[in-house]
Amino acid sequence: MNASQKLILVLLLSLELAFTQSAILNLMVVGACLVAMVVARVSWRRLLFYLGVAAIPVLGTFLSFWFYGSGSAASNGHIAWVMSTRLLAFISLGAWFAQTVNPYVLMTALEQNFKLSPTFVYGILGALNFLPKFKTALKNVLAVAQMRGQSLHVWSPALYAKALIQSLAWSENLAQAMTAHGFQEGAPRTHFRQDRLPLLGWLILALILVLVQLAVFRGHWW
Amino acid sequence: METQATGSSWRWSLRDVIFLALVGIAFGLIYWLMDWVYQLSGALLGAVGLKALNDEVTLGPWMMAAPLASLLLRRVGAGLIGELLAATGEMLLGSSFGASNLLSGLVQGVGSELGFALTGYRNWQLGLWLSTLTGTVVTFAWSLIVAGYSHYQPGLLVLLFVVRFASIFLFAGVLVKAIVALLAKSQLFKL
Repeated sequence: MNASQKLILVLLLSLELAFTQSAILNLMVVGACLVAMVVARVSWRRLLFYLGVAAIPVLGTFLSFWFYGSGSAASNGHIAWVMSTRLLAFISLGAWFAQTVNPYVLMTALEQNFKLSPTFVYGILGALNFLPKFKTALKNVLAVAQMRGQSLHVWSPALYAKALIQSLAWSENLAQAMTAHGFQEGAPRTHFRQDRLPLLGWLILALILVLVQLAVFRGHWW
Repeated sequence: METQATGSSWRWSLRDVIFLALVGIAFGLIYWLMDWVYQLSGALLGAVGLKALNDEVTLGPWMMAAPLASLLLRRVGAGLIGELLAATGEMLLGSSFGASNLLSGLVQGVGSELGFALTGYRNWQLGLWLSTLTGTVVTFAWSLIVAGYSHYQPGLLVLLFVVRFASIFLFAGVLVKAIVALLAKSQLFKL
């Protein structure tokens, strides 16, 4: 599967899981994602990180529905199972996607497969490089405010305003730099790396969706 | 340096796109940090038996990117795209909501965008206040259908709705308005 097909699969599966109440299906998705990540040689440390991220919310969701559900004890138990495993399935899907697709591959795939405007593709990719600079800028803003005897908090408008003024300056500079390097808005482009939608990818996607539908509808007898 | 390019509210210049992406990325980072706040407050509220309130109290900050992008760029779809970018960033950083971030980003973006659309993208101030209301209604409908809220007792549901609206009103309304007012004073934005 290429990046676009992976995105479609993740979106469709998340949507289906959101509307389905089957703990077994959720756990199957978790298992499949884990296998896919091990096959793709995602490091154990990354997997442990996701397990750590998942632990508290999954447990919290389970206990919340267990204690505060409106139905009988049995139906509360069922819904608690469904909701907590569903969360685990969402985290697994997100982890699989994040670990097997990088933003560059995803954006170029969307450009070539779905005719996403190159202005958006390269604008967003260019902007992504500022992620580390944001962390530094945030520290600077806080330090400068401290020097003036002000403490900025998450609820201080000034904190956001300063970050946004910084963003405005960066967007101006980056747009000029891209134009200077020959980026033309709306101009036709050729691609060195061709990223087509492989037929095999569609087949795998269809197979997974068929299996999920079988699990959903067979699930009544399990 | 002005964000508002001349022309219709549909045309996007490269600079607008980069600015929108930067807003999205900055909020992706903030949203990711919010995950940890959410887990912490969830544990605290859970300890006093109010775990269900946690989603509602903390939702406001997660809805800030959309109205802010709409107000600063004044483009059709700016809110939705901004919220989607922020949600995607949050997921890629490793969020405890995983792939469901994409769905919530979509639902929250549509909810907020709806408020501005109701004014025909003409009255942005009114649009902001409407967006807090439409944002609450749309996300609450989603929670009812998908997050199992229909299994909660009716009295609790009313409380959850009110608290959710208060949180969204404060963060995605009042705070966003204060930020935009500060930026307007800087005269860097044509607002």
